[in-house]
Amino acid sequence: MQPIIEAHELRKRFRVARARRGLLDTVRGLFSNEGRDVIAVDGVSFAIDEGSIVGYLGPNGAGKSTTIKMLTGILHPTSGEVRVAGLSPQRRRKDVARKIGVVFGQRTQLWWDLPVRDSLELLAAMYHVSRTELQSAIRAFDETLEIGAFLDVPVRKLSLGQRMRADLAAALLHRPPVVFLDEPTIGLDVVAKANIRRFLREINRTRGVTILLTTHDMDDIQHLCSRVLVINHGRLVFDGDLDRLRASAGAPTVITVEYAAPPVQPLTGPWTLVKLDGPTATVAFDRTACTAGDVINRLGQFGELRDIHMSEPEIESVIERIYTGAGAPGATTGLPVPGPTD
Amino acid sequence: MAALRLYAQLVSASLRAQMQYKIDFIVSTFLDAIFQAVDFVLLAAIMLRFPEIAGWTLYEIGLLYGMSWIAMSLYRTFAPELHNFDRYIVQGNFDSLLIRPWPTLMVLLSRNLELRKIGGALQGALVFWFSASHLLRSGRLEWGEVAILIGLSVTGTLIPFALSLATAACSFWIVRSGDLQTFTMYAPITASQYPLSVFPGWLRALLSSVLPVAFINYVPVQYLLEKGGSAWSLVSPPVVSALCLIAAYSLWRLGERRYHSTGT
Amino acid sequence: MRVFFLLAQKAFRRNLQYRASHVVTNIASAIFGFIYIAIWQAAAAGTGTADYSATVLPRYIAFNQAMLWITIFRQHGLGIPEAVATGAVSLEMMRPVDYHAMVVVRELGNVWYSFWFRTVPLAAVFALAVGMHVPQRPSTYALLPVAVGLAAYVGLCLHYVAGLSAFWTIQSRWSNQLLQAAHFGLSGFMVPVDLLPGALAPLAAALPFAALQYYPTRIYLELSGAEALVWPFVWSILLTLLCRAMTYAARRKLEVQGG
Repeated sequence: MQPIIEAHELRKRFRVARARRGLLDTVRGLFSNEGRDVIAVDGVSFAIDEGSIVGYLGPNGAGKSTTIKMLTGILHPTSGEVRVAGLSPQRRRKDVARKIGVVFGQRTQLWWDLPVRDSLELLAAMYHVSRTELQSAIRAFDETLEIGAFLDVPVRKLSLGQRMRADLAAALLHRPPVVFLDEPTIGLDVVAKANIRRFLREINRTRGVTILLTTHDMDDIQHLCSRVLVINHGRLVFDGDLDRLRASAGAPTVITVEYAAPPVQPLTGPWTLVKLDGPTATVAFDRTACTAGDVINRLGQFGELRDIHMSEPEIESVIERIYTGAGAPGATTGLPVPGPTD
Repeated sequence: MAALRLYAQLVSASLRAQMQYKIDFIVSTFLDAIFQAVDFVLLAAIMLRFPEIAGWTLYEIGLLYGMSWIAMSLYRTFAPELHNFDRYIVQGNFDSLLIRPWPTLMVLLSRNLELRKIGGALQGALVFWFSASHLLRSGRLEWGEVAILIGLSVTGTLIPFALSLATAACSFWIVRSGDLQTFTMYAPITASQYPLSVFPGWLRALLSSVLPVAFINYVPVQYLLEKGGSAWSLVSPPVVSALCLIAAYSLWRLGERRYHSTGT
Repeated sequence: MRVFFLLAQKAFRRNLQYRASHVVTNIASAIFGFIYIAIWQAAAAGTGTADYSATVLPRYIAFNQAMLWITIFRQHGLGIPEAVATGAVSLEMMRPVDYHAMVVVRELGNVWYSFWFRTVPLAAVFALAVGMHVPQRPSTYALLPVAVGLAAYVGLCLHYVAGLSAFWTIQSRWSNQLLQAAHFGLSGFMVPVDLLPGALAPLAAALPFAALQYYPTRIYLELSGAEALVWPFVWSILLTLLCRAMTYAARRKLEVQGG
């Protein structure tokens, strides 16, 4: 089946003008072509199948928003191909627009002074959503997002959480198969975040909506994403699922075991001993080097095991390691083009 | 047509929103009205002492005033977002226009209406009527000619609209196009309230070509009052309006292409 | 005392930073001036009245246009409504310096800048276009600075009153709009006050707005003498009293309601 989002060797180069000081210099600047080239996106390729939820990560300035803008038709790539729902956002912007929903976390898409309901009605008119469809959509959104409570409140009076819910409803009103979310949970409290995530999982499960979300919130990743793309310095440095993410980052998995009695020393094996406190031992090991099973078996040779507790490395630290390039050698697995982890 | 449905919805929604703040709406409309009224009253005061300006009487100038105000007010009513467009570029909100399945200009115009400005059009109509009825009675004008002028007032709205569109398009290059507006809109429109013959030749040429506000009112009125012009003077205004609109829209599309490429 | 000088100086310097963009607004102001001059030149051609001939009327308009920058073109409400909206005003009122004096002095810095960087250049440009009236009477040279100074001061007071009204009204925009409308119609900016019809002429002559444009221009054109300073003086005093009273009331409101 054809992937619903395809990017091939996407490149985006900007020409940044020299900073101008003073009126005369500014006028001169209008006529000169000085500046330097900034390559925001440098040969990014990926394919996303319909019905997946994919996280798109990267430090600020890495090329995240530039990529998203090229996928949504806002920017035109300098070179490379992109297809969303089989269409080119560059050549068929308006057609692609019908098939996508976009939520910018920081800015609302709604009419500022009008009640939410009016915004939805206006969008319905824009997207050729019939009145009956609109009514049933509002009912559905009330069930899942509870927007009924503030349908008649002007958008500027909404709290951040309410506004985000309204924006999501607005983005999904025309039932697009693809949704782009830019930092959808930023600034929200814990409960609100959980509700948004629950909603996103729900529409993905029941309607197969493909979701591409950029975020800095690791919990978003953990709770939503089956796959993660990491971009840094304009290049894709990782493309795979969460497990591979942890493994490739070379972040150690940690096991804490409790023996019946203090174990025989020394505790040597394919691990680093983190702590030994009476009968409790904590070791850290590299999952790519040996399996958890091996480690537990080896540990069992030093005494009778009573209890085992395993914890995965924090996604936070995993991502950080990828950003800073501190990964295991050959960490860039699953990519069509090997990229440097600089 | 879908665009009409969108607009009808926008008008009713805007009306409802404005009515929530009845007091503000009324006071603001009232103050706007005062300002406009003072403008014309001052003219009347001056013309009590100086009965003619370049051979034009108060009632004749009143026609110019009325038509200019109608055109400008209608434009301000329907295109406030265009008037303040550089805000979109400064705040990075142009993106939100690009993700809709419509031409960006349509999306922009559908964001807001400034219904209180319609008062300006009504006042313009009042001044126009005050002047026209006097000229009708004195035989300077006929009913058919007045009807033509009314029609041209409405098509004349396209000229400030086109000027605004071109100015807004400049923000794709220079960001703060609002500073340009004094030169491309406020000054020319003010000048268009008076007979163009008072201005030096170069300014007359400018206001008949690059900033063609002369075609909102002066060109047709001049002809119908037998002060100059030819039969073309009745045909050229809508033609010039259309040409301006096409030129301005082309500039807008050019700017849009630039935005796709540079992102700012 | 030194504080006040520093406040004014700081305001002046801040304006200096933006002088490049001010060039643009000056050009725009000049264009409007030329538009009005052309109109009234045509109006007065041949049928000029005793005082306002076809030569004098354009100079009247020109002088007024240049003066606008020190009388009516001030920041909306002198920045007070904004301070009220953000709550910063309570901080400002708490300072050990007299609030009214502080605001006025700060604005004087702006006025001083506007005078040298806007009024003077504009006047020079207009002088090239319509010629400059060179006052013949020596008394004019003494009266004119006083008149211009009073015009600036009265303008400041009016804006202060409009701005301070933000303490009591919902929409401070209205008071500013009213002020602009009153100035537009009654200050003699577009039409000399004595040319206004009927009872409007003596009424406008007695209002503070005339002090902003009409009286200084009359003195400059030597159409009036020291008698044109009477109303400006009266209004300076009355408005100062009003400002002080309102400041006191505003402070009380702040103390009672807490902002």
